[in-house]
Amino acid sequence: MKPFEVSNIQDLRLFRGKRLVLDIPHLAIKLGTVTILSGPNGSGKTTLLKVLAGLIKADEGTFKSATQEISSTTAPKEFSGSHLYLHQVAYMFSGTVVDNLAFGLKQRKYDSSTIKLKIKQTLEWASLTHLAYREAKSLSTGEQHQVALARARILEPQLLLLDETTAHMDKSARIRTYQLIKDLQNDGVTMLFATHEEESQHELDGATLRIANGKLL
Amino acid sequence: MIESESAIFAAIRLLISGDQAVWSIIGVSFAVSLRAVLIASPFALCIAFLLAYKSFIGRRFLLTLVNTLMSVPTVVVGLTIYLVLSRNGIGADLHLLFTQTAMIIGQVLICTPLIIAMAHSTFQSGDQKAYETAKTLGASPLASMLTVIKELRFGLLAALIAGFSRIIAEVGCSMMVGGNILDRTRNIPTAIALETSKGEFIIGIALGIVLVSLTMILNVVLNYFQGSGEIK
Repeated sequence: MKPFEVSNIQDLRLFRGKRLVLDIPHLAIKLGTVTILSGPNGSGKTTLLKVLAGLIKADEGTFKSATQEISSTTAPKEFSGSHLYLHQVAYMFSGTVVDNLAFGLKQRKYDSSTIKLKIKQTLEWASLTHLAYREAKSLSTGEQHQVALARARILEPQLLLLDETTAHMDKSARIRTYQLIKDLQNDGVTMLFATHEEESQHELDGATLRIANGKLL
Repeated sequence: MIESESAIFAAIRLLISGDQAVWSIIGVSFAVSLRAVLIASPFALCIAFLLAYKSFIGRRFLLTLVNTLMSVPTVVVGLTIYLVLSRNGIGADLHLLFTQTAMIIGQVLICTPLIIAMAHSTFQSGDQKAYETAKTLGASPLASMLTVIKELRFGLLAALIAGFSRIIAEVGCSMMVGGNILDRTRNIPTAIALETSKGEFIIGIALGIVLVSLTMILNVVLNYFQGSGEIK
């Protein structure tokens, strides 16, 4: 794999029963870029993102990552925590916004003073300080997505896989979320943004990949 | 009717007076059933989680087996353990027959399928995104499972309480493998059966009151916690 790529997959195939749902001969995601994955509902966007995040095991294919040359059909374990997948409807763990931001850091065994500092900085970055001690599940959909983006950013991911992040949002929440995504882009975070909306392609500056019936066009 | 009322008051007086025999029976019941549910729970929760979140060969068979074992009568479980632990059984050398350990083994076998089935249903109805979110944020498979358990704790607590309720009130297995020995293996259900057969209704009613009160307390506790977890 080339050093400026964060993910590189070859001959990826995934079946559901006998039906071929993903057939990607080659996909390389370049470091620091935003790639828009565009396609209609049911085209395989979510499945591809989950395969790249290591949440779904492929039936055939090889993965390459920055530090691991080749893995088998499962995405390398190191993808967990570095290739972050964000659901279409963000999931908030029970507890406060701070508890949610601390989750990934605790998995990485950071000490409590580092966790506090990183949370403070991230809340300020996302302008969510006023929500710090609110019950995360009680927030609006837009706020939950912003917390989810902050929860991902705090882990300094190699690749952020955003699954129709701006769906189910009102206009103001959508504008705010796009701004956070652009801030992430300016920070050099590599992103793959799945969408079926034209708007995302206008809002984000990046190459567009089209997918239909599990195949890149 | 008057006789029944006076028997109930006599039973309450017996409980309040701290009668050693009655409280020993209650103590045995709790010691055995609490240990059984504590032993069964981690295993049952892991199996329920695997059934809900992983696909593997034999999964459907395991589900069918769990559902079948749920309806096995407790006397059949007792009989099986009795045959294993009795003089001619393969576990005879363990000398466990008519001990609390034998009762615990029996109660673990009785409550495990019920806890698995209820916990599986809770895991299935829970949000799959919790597991995926934990995993993508870097949690190990074990840490991801514990996160899901924490997220679904109120539903899973109901499964554990149901398992406990089933074994605290079962008589068949305890009678067969425990032997109903006072201060050692006599628990509330076996004592009620014995005292009733002797015509000693007051002790039977006193122990019945304890069982009913316990059920009520467990339900109050469950409602309290489930109330805390309500969707707002």
